[in-house]
Amino acid sequence: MKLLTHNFLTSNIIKGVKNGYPLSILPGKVEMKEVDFNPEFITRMLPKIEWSALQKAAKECGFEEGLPDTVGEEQLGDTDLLKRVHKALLEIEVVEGKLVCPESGREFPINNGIPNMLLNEDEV
Amino acid sequence: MPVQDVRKHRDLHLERKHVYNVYDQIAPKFSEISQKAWPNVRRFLKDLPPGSVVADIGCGSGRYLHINSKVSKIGVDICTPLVEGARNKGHEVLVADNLTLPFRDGAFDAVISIGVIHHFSSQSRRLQAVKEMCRLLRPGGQIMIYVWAFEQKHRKFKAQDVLIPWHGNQSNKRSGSLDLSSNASSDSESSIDTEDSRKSIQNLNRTLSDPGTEHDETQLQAYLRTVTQGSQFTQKHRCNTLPSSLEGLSGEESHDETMPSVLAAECRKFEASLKAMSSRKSSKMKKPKLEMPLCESEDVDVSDFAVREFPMSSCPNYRKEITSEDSEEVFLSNESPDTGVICMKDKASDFHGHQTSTKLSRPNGAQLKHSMSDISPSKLQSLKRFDHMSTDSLKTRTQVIGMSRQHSHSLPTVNLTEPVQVSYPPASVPSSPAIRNEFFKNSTELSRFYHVFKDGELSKLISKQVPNVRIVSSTYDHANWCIVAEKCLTS
Repeated sequence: MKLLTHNFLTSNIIKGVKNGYPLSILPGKVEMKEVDFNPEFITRMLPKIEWSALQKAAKECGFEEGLPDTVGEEQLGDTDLLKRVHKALLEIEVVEGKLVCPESGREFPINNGIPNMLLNEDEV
Repeated sequence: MPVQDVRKHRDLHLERKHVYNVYDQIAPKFSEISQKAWPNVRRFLKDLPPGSVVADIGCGSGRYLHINSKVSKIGVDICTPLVEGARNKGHEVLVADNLTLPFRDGAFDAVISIGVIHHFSSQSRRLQAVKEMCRLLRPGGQIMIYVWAFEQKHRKFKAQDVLIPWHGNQSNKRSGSLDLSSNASSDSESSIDTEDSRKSIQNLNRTLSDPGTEHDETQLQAYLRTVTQGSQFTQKHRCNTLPSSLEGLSGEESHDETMPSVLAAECRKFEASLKAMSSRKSSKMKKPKLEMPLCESEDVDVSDFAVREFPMSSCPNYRKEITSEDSEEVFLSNESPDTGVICMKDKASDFHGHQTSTKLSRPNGAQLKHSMSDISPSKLQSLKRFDHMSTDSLKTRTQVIGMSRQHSHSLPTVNLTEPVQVSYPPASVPSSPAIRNEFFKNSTELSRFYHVFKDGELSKLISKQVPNVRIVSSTYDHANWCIVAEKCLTS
């Protein structure tokens, strides 16, 4: 699972949960997988990302380079920053781990890079 | 237990048994099947601006996830084995339920749902699935939905809720490539893997009659006689239609039906078409090459002739149905060009696939239909000449299943360099009734539930019951209804 995917995930589907975003990551096995850097792609993607969720997720995955608290328009030309964003967004792979609902604590497993977001009958 | 709970359990039971469990079991087969993406879907994805985020809900083994490297794709499916297959191809995927999609509102620029929601067993579940997917769209974002159509040219569904048997587990390995369910992904975005397609086509067994027999018509007539007499063909392997109340489900997978009158009528139609073919034979012999451009050309996507989920799988039990209802269109195998063996083709393949019109029309024998995908422009030009269906053949994207009847009958005289066996499922239809019996007996018991949509049904569902979404287009594409809808800009 890439952090780009994680950025869209929520556990609001659980009955009764209102604040299921963002999911916390309990990483078990994290890998770095190289992906071609495309600055235009990152620039276009940025407005769709919840920045604080990405920053938090990157930290949880041990992304040492870190990300700034905010990214302003003026920083979009900063290639180094874009490369860091690219790395966090697309190159971090959570292969094994758990996603945790911030409200209920419910854990969703990640196996082989695949999150399993299926609910039990009583959670629907 | 309250009525709605009973219904819910029943719906779930039906889906578990005839969708989820089936896909879980047949998932490994999908990776063996090489399938091209539906052109319309491919185009929808390719037209998305760079940097878009797309969700493929019901992605299967990721058939569409490789298309357009400039957009981000996330695939979702409830079937873990299929998702794992997609993952192995390097795609971003997760396991989730279409009815409870774990995504925040408005996160996606586009959503595709290709051959998915027709598996939901009730209207309310189908509606919930659509609503969930529309929830994911940002304002202005679009969703493309493909579902099986009730209205099909080559088959008549007796009801909208049907069980379609799965035949991918035939001992004949070749059947893998013929399979009806199509969730395997293509290998690459670029066009044709002719090597693979040719191989799979060569592996197809399509002939009704043994190679080297004298006259096609005689063979076929003999076969038809057996078919019309053979009640053994109407046993378990029919298209099973479910009563709309879904009662009597109780674990039974099939409802046996015999419809000898329909069978006989279809056979009569087939014989008539055969006769029509023979009468036009001489006039078409002059330009054999032009009549079979797709078969002889190397750069043609012959995998389009292979099984696709739409509309192939809409033929319920193609091995059985081919004997009863499929007789309308045939085309030739040029395995031995001289003999001009005629192959029964799967009736479910839709011949007229007009995208621009929702009206179904019967093609006449003079029409050559062809797939526009992956055909080079020069080839398109020559094909256009033969497309009597429409002056704008590019738009219509009609599917060549094979040759039109009149052309096919003339094929025996064509000397083609590439002996391409263009045939549709079944993988093998043995020539003798005894063998056929045995063959059909070995069919798997797995069958999938489908609710086939009537003209306008899905559009109406969306426009009336899904708020903030408007219909952009509704087209008929090879036995499917294709709906594109858009999230309104102001909510």
